Amino acid sequence: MRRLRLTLVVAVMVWSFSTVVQALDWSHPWQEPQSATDAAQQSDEYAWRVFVAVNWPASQYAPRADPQRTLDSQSTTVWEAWSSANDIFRPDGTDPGPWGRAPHPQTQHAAVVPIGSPRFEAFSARDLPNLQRVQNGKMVPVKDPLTSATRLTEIHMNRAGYEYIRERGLYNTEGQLRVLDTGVTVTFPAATKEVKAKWRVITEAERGRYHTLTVTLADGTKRLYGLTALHLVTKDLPTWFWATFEHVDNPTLPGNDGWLAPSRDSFACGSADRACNRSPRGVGLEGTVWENYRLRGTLTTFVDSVGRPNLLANSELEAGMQPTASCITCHSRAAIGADGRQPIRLPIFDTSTADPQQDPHSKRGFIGVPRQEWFENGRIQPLDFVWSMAKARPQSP
Amino acid sequence: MRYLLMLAGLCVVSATCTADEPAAATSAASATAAPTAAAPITDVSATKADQPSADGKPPARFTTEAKWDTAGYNNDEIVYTILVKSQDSRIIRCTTSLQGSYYENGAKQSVSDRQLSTVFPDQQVQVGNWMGMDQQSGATYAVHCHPL
Repeated sequence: MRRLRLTLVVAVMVWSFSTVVQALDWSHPWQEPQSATDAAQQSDEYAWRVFVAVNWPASQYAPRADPQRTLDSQSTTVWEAWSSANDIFRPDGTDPGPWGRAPHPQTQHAAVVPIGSPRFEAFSARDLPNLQRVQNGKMVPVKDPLTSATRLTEIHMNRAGYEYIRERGLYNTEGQLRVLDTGVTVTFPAATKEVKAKWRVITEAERGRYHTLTVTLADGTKRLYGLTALHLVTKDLPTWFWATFEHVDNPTLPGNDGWLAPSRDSFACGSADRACNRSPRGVGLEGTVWENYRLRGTLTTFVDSVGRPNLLANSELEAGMQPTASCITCHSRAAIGADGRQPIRLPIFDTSTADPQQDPHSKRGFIGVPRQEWFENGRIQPLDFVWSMAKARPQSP
Repeated sequence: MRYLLMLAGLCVVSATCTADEPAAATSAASATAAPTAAAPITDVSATKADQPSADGKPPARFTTEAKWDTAGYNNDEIVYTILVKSQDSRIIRCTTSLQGSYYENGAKQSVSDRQLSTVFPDQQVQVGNWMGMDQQSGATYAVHCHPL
């Protein structure tokens, strides 16, 4: 009898560690969920549900999930197949064309991407003339700043968001200024999703722990990158649904400040200890690289139930500003105003209390409920939380 | 005599500075300062004059500034920048020497560099931007300029 009881206890313990309580439908995990209720009420599970769907291997023929494949195949994900912000907001401000016109990574099926690919956010090389870097103990000239960067960052948007921008001509500054003139409110459709990702150089020995990307450098050599951070943002809610994921190794990386606030994941952990540092069991992550990623938290409101600002930071994507990082408040400042016909944007960082003696890597973000005065009585118009809109350039004559 | 005193005053042989210790900016060449434990962004500016040229021309007049800064998307790269501003009516040629540290496989290593720059009258140039150095270890630099 005692042995039976012990067996039952062990079985219950194994079960509790092997699966999670699911409230959402996981029967077709490659299908992107869209539910305001689930986003608001089952936020952590919803975040994982979106995570699995957008990290599903993409079809070879179109930027959408391939149900025939599984999460364990190391290939281009759905979000990687979406248009990058640099595809949408072109340097010459021209129409990016119909969805799917830009070559997406499926054409490079082995996911080998040139370092000069527009999918990566540019490094400000023009501000750094005569740039040198350490290589094999010597300073050598930097011909390609992206090659020298320790991290690569990219932003992608799905079809719903892309087409909203294109149909309204918001892909250049003229189009956005027209919105300002007409007073039309920018409101992305509920199906819109945006992703911001960060990669770091990894070794071959680390390949099995990361979602990887092979990048061809200017000299033809190939370099292996591992995904370290992923912001997932969906328009399920009027103020969007915000979730951020990190690779479990991040806090130990050189140059990473560590996780200054504990993770909050009630889906993987249960409600007792939301910082259990596990990935959820029973949703298909076991045995894949994705089990090495952690939900750091979700945001759906500016403040909590007693009015304290809600914070959420990714140690890679919000490096240097974790204590004052609030995705939702920061992005509420994505806006446009005009100085003559020149667009003006609100600053990303709060310098109102800047201390000149402070660590230069310590940046202060905006937190809490957005203030009306930021928008100068309507002179500056919000752009529905989409910071990438600030990448728009004037259309060349 | 007055001319000799002025010349002596201008003959700050070279500008050896450290980004850690602003006081070093005004000192002469012999004042090579050791890096301190922390190296926040610090301006190191001072009017300097280098040696007279071989043909007896008055020395070049210039100021220097060095700072740690951030660059890249979300400012996640640390860059050390040295600027030289000419206060001379002539074109000057500057040699900038840099000494710093970096980490390789957890071990601290030293690294140095030297850059040549041409600075036009009353112009400021970034004589160099260096990535990959350890800010906490600090860096030292020296700038020598002469008129062309």
